[in-house]
Amino acid sequence: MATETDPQHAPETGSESESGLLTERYVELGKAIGFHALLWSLVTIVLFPVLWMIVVSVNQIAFDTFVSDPAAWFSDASMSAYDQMVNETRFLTWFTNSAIVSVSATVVSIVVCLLGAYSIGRLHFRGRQTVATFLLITQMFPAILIAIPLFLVFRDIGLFNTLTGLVIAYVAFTLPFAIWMLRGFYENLPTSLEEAAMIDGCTRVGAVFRVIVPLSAPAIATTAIFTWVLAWNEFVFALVLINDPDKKTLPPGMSEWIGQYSLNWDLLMAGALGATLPMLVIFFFLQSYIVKGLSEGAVK
Amino acid sequence: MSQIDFESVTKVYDGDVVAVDDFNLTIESGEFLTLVGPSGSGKSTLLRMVAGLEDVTEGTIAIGGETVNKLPPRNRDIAMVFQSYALYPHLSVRENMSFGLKRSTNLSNDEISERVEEAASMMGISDLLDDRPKQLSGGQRQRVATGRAIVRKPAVFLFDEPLSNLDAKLRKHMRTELKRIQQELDTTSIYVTHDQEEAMTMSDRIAILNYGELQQVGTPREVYDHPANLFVAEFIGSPSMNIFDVRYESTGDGTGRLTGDIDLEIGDRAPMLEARETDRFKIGIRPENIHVTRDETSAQGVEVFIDLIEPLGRDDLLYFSLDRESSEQIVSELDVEEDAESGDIELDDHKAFIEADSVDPTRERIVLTINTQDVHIFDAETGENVMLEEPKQEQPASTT
Repeated sequence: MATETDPQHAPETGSESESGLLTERYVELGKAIGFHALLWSLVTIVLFPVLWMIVVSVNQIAFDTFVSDPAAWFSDASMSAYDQMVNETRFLTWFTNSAIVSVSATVVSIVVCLLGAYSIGRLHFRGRQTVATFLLITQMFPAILIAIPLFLVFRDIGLFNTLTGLVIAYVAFTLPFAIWMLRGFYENLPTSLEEAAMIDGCTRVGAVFRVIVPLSAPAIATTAIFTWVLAWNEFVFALVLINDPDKKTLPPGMSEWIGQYSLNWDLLMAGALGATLPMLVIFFFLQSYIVKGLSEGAVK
Repeated sequence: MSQIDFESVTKVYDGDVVAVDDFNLTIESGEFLTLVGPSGSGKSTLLRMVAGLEDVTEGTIAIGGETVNKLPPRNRDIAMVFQSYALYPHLSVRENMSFGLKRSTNLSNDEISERVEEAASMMGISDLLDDRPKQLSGGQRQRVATGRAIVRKPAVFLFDEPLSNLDAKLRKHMRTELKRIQQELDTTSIYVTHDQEEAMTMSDRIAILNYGELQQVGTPREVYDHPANLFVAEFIGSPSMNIFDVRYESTGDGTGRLTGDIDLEIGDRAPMLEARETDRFKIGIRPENIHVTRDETSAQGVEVFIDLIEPLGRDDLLYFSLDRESSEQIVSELDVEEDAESGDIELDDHKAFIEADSVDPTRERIVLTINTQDVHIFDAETGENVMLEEPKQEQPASTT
C-alpha cells in the first residue's frame, strides 16, 4: 500500500526505493506511537484511582468540578484530613495492629510453609499427593464461609478479640497457597544439591537450612509478600473475629468511618493512602525479588 | 584401609523394579574401579547406595570393614562428584570447598583455608577461589567439584559421570587429570560412566553391568581381550566388535568348521564347540583383526560389499556388509544416523580398520581375511564366551 501513494513516480526505481524507505520509517513511527499510547493509557487506567485518592484526600471535590476548575481545587487544598486521621481517629492503633498481624502471619506462615512445601515437594511418603490436594481444597471455600465457624471456635477457646487469633486464621488461610507456590520451586531444584550437602556432613534438616533455604530466597520473598498483602488487606476475618475497637485492623476499622463521620471522603482517602503506603514501600524494595521469584522454575 | 565390599547387594524400587540384582564385588583399597553399562543398568544406583543416598534393599555394603547400610551419608567418610557438579550456587568457590570441612571436621579456620588452598592448587583453580559457580565455565566447575571432593581427604571417592557434561577435548584432558589425582592421593574410587572409552583409559578394573546384573569384572585388558559374554564383547571397544551368526559343522574327526554369515576353519578350538549342546554360535571379531586380503584367491578370504570408507587419519574405517541388499540399506541408514547426537551408531553393519588409502572407495567388493586366533565365539543362546572355558581367565570376585 505504501508504494501506491505516489503512482507517478512508480516507474522510477530509485525514487521508488527512497519512498519505500520513507514509508517504512513512518510505519515504524506509527507502530511506536500506537504501542506507547496503548501502554500509557493502561498505566493511567491502573494508576488513576491512586491519583484520585491523593486529589480527594487534600480537598474533597467532585470529579467534574476538578476537571472544569483545577485551580479551585488547588487553592482550597489542605492537610486537615490527615490531621484529623492521626489525631481524632484510632488510625494509628489500627495501623499498628495491622502491622503486628501481617508481620506475624507472614513470619509464621513462611516458617511453616518452608518445611511443609519441602516435605511435599521433596520427600517421598505415603499420602503426599493426598495432603497436597487437601491443601488446595481448603482454598475452594470463600472466606466468609470459614469465618463464621472460626468465630464460634475462637469464641470457645478464648481467641476471639485477640490479634493472636487473627494471626492463626491468616496463617491457616495463606498456608495452602504458599505451600503450593514453594513446592513448585522445590520440585525444580536439583536434588543433587542437598545430596552433596548431606555427603558434605549435613543432616537432612541441615541441608535444607544451609543450602535449600538460601537458594529459595526469591521464592520465599514472593511467598512472603503474597502472605503479607493478603493479611494486610483482609477484611472478612478481621471484621468477624475482632470486636474491640482497639484491636481492630485497618480495613474493618476504616469501614467504620463510613457513616460515623457522615462519609468524609477526604478522611477516607487519607486513610486509604496511609494504608497503601507500606505496600508501596515494600513493593518498591522487593520488586526485583518478586520478578525473580515469579520467573523461578526456569532456574538452572 | 578403605576396601569396599558388596555382598549380595540388591535394590528393588517400588516393590517390583529390580535395579541391582545380587551384586557381589570387593574393591581393594586404593583401587580405581569403574562401573560401566548402558542407561538403566543400575550403575548409578550402586554408587548412590555406597553414598547412602539410596537404601539397600538386601545385602550389605561395607567400607573399610564396617557395614554402612544404616549409616547416613555424612558418617560414611566419602566424597562424591556429581554429574551436574552440584556446586552450591550461593557460595563462592572457597566456601564451596570448605563447606564439607566445616561440617564434618573440627579443623580450625586456618587449617581449613590451608587445605582449601592446597586442593585448589592441585586442581589449578587457585585464581577462582573468590568467584561464584555461575561465573565459571563448565571445565572450571568440574575442577571445583573435584576440588571440593579431594579437599576432604575421604576414604572413598565416588564419581557419578563427572565428565559427561564437558566437550570431547576437555573430557579427554580431565580424565587424565582425574586419574593422576587419584593415583597421587591413592584413594579408593568408584567411577560411574556409560562411556566405555573412559572406563578403559582410567580404570584399574572395570565392572560391566547390564540390567542390574554384573556381567564381568576385570582389568581393561582382560575385558577387552577376553569378554565373558556377548554383551561385554559388544559394549567394550570402539568401534564395537563385529558379530556374525554361524553354525558349527563337525567333520567327525574332532574338528570342524563354522558356516553361516561367514565360513571359518576353527582348527584346535573345535573341542570346546563340540562340548556345547547347541550348534548355533555367534562369532565376534574386532575391527582391527580384519584385514584386506592381498591374495584374493586365499581360502580363508570372505568376500564382502563395501558400504563406506571413513578416513580416520592413521587408518581408514571400512563399513562393509555381507550381501548387496543390506549394503544399500546401511548406506541410507548412515545418512539418517549422521545427526544423531551420540557418537555410538548402533547399526547392524560391520567395520574393519584398514590401512589408509589402501582400498579404492569406488570398488564394490573386497576380500577380507580373518585370523581364526582373533575370533571370539559365543553361545548363540546364552551369550557366554565359549572360549573362556580355558582356565586362562581369572575373574576376581565375579558373580556371573
